[in-house]
Amino acid sequence: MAIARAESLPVTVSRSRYDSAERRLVEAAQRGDQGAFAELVRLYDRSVLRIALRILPSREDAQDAYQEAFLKVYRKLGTFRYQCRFHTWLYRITTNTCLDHLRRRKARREFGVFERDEQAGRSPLQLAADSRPGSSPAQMLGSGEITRRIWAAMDKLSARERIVFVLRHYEGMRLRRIGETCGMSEDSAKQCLFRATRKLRRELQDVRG
Amino acid sequence: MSADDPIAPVDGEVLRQRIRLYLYGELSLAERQEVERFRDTDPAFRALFDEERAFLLGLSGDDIGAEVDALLGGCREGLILAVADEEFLRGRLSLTDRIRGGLRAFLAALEARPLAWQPALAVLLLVAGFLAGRGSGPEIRRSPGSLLPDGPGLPASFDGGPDLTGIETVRLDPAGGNVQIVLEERRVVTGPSSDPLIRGILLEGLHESHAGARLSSLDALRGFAFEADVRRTMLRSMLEDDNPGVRLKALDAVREQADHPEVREALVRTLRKDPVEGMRVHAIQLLSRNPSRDLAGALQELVELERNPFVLQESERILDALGASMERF
Repeated sequence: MAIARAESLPVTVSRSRYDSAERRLVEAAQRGDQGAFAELVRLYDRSVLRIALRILPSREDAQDAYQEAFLKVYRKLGTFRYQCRFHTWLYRITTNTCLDHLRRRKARREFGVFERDEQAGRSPLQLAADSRPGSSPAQMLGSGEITRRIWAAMDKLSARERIVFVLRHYEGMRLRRIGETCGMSEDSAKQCLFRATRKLRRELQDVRG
Repeated sequence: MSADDPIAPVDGEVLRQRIRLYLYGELSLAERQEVERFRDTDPAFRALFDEERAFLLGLSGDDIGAEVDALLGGCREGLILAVADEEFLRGRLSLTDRIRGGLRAFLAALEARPLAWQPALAVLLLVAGFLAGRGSGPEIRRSPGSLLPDGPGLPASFDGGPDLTGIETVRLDPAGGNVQIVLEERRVVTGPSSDPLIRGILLEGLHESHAGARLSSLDALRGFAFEADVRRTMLRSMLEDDNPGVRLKALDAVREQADHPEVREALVRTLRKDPVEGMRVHAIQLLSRNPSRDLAGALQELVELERNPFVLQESERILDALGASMERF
């Protein structure tokens, strides 16, 4: 069975109001308004920390990456010229910072299985089972080992695959935007996503019921 | 497939990829309709579709929300200090200010809660205004914003007199030679939730700084969402409270009023804005009870942005039931 590729239709969703509000904040922050910079931090720091926690193997690394990313933004904000949206730029800095952390770990030969465990209350599929009717992840994967297995499977992905998967699957970012963020084409991001999901599927095959 | 990919394509992988793109909302309308046609007519494809959907759902979940909540405060504090160091090094911040903890404007913007969320329930401020020199001794009066009325006979009861717990400020009035003292006091109030006074205090409780007090207040107010002031305060909590648990409790508290236009509007806003997937799941469930054309625009926009597969599918189901297109052109 084959599904023919249909021609894409143009889709427009107006974000102009959101963009102009963001731009006003960025411009104020560029003029030295620390309140505006703090507001930008408040707007995006939850996402930045979430991305770092998903990509990096330890909380400490994620916290460091959070701080490094925002400090880079603070230092370079004056040079930002709206070649892309502010948050695309921020996420690019965040993912590059995470990549640097991963490279440093690799250089120190510390890169390995994710250090986080369920002790921190990370029990994704139990939570998912509670909140999503019909999803039944617990039925699919059983319980107890789920969190550890998912993080171990994520550990098998290359840094780039992990970043693309996290941005698409967990952050809901469009492949086109992921391409802009990671400096690759939309098609490369798509292939990266496919490789990541295929690896995850293979790694988690034995725990599926 | 790239040459460096160690994994060979498996049977059905192309179909799986198309299903993934469908579930992630990355296909055009025509492509989506094609997938749906196969899904609805081909049992083998349907099985593959369900398997892929279950697999991705299994990996889903905003499961690190609690971890993010736990770490965010420390991260922000660290960032404030790091920015202060940066400013100090650039010579734009004095050592004194640096030692004091950095940048007040930055700190205030990053840490302060909006004024409306200031604590108001347990501690009531009494103003002892410009007392001295009138020959009649001190006279304590309540501030205009005090919640506690003077009149007797209400069902709610006060447990004894107020306990003075501290002096908040003392101001001298150089012209009149008087002193203004703002005192803090605590009182215990007991009564049923149906009592207007108790309800008023509970509504103030939704602005308390402690999430526990806000949760308890919502619990106590459950069943009163039919009253406009209660409903609106609950909706505000549902939309604006920093704590996801409080927002969820508020959503649950307005559940019985889910068809009220104000509640529907707030649920749509939750669907669009709330970062917690559980909130969006509950919001779409409540909205789907009574789908109407006024939802179409919001859902079409949502279909483009939503990342939770359940919310996405429910939105599409409602749009389909309404006979509306999936996308805005």
